[in-house]
Amino acid sequence: MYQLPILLKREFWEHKGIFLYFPLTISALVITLSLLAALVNVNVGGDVTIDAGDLRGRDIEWQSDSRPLQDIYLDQLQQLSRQDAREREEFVVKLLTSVSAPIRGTLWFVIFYYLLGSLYEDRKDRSVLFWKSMPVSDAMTVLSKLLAAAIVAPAIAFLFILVTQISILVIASVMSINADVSVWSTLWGPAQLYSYWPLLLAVLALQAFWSLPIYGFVMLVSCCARSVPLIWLLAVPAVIGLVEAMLMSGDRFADFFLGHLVPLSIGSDPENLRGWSDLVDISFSVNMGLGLLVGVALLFATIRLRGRSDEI
Amino acid sequence: MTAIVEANGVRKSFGDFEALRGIDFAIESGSIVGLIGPNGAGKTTTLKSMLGLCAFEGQLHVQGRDPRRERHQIMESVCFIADVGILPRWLRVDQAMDYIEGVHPNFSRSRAEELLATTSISATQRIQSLSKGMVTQLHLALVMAIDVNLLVLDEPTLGLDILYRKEFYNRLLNDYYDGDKSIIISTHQVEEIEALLTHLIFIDRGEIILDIAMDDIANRFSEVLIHPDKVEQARQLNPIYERDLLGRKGLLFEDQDPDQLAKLGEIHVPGIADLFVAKMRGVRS
Repeated sequence: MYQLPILLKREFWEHKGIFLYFPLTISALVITLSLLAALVNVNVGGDVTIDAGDLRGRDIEWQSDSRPLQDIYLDQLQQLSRQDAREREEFVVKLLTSVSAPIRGTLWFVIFYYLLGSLYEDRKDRSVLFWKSMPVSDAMTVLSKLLAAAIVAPAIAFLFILVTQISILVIASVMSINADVSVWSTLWGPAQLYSYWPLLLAVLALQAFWSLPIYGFVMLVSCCARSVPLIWLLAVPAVIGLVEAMLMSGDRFADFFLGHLVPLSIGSDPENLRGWSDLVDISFSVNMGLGLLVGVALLFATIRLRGRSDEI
Repeated sequence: MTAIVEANGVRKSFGDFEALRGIDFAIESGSIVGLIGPNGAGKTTTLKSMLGLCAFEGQLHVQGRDPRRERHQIMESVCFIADVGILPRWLRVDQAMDYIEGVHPNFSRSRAEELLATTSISATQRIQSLSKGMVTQLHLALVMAIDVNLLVLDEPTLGLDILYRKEFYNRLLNDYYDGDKSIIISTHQVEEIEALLTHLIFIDRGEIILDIAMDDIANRFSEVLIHPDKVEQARQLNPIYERDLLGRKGLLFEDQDPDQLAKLGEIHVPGIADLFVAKMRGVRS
C-alpha cells in the first residue's frame, strides 16, 4: 500500500492534460463568458419579426425587441430579490448547477477516455514491459488506475466547480450592487453553499461506487482489447442487450447497464437526487449492492488478465 | 553455487508456432550468461517468461518463485532492460526517478543521480526528447542504481552505435558487476560480449542446442588449423565445422582427443562466433 501515492502521481503525470488542464480550461471559459456577458453591452434575445413585404424582396421591414444583455440580468436580479425564499433558493441552485454542468458533463468523458486507455496504451507503446519490470503487483496497478478515475479526477473537477461557482456568485454580486439588490439575501444566502457543496461532494463520492460496474467493465475491455478498445466497449453491451431482448424478451441488462452508466445528479426533478435522504436511499438499494458485486467481479477478472497480458 | 533461475520443460506457443519447445536450463548466481541465437530463436520469449511478462507452460523458478504468480516479488530482486526503449515516452527523467524511488525498496536515488551526472541527460528532459542511445544510457543508470541479484538484458544495445555499445558493456562490467550478481544477456552480436561471459547458452527454433561454461569450451571444443595436405585425414575425425583460412583450413572438433588433434596442426580454442555457426549448421542440416 505504501506504493499507492506514487502510483496515483504517476497517473496524474501522464494524464495531466485531461485531469487538470481540461477542467481548468472549461472553468476559465465559463467564467470568462460570464464576465463578458456582464461587462460587454450587447443586444440579445427578443423576437425578430420580418415582414417580407412583396415577393420581389422590396420593402422588407424587420423589427426586434432586443435589449442590452446587462439590462436583462439586472431585471432578473431585481425580480429575484422580490421572490420568496424558496423560489430564490431554487433559482440560485439551478444557476450553480448549470455553471458546473460543463465540468460535470466532461468529467464523465474524461473518466471513460482515461479508463479505456488505462490498460491499453502501455501495451501499445510497449512501456508495459517497463511498468511490469517494477515490483508493483497487478492488483496495485489496477487499483491505482481505478482510484485515479474514481477519486483523483472527480476531486480535481470538484475544486474547479467550487472555483467556477464562487466566481459566478462574485460576478453576480457585483451586478447586484448595480441593481441595488441585497447581495446576501438574493444570492449568497439562497445558495446555501454550506449544504450544497457537501452534498455535491457526497454525490461525486457515491458516484464512484454507483459506477463501479461500468468502471470495471471499461477497465476489463482496456486490458483485453488487442486493437480499438472503443469498439469492444460499445459492441459487448449492445450484443448482450440484444441477445437478452431477443431470446428472453427482457431488458434487465439494459436497465442495469444504463442505470449505472448515467451519472448521478443533483436537482429538483424526480430523476435527480434531491437531498441527503435520496443519497442514503440509493446507497442501500439493491441496485447498488448488485452493481458493487458485478464491479468487484469485473475488477478481479481485470487483475487476473493484466497478469497475463503483454505488449501488442 | 546456487541456481537463481531454474527452468524445466518450458514451452510457449503462439497459435501453431512453437516459440519454446520445452527448454531446460539453470543460471547460477554470480554468473554472466550469454543467451545467443538467431532472430526468432526464442530468446526474448525465454527472458519474458522468466520475468512473468508472458504466459508459458512448464516449470520455471526465479529465486524459487513462479513468475506467473509472483512477478512483483521477483521484480524486487531482478531488473530488466529490453531492446529499443521501453521507457514511457511521456515520462520525465526526474519523474522516472521519483517513481522508482516510490515503488522499489532497493533503489538508491543518489546513485542514479551520480550515474546520470556522467551523461549529458538532464533531469527535466522528457524521454521522448532523448536519442535512442541516451534512453539506453538512462535505463542502464536507473537499473544500476537498484540493488538486485539478477539483471536481465534483452538485446540491450540493438540499434546503438559502437561508442554507446562499448560504453554500455564497460559500465556494466566495471561499475555494476561484483561477482555476486548474475547477469543474463541475449544478443545476436556475439563478438561484443564474448569477453564478458562466464556461461553460454545457444538457442535456436525454441530449443537449447548448447549450454556450457566458458571455461569448459576449451575442454570440449578445439579448432585445428590444418595444412591442406592433412585435411582428408582430419575429416575422418568428424569435424563439426570447416572454414577456409589463408592457405589453411580451420576444422572444429567436439569431444576429440587433443593428442590426436595435435598431430594434425595447431590447436586453439574456437571463438564463440565460429562455435555458434558450427552448432547452428549442425542443427539446421
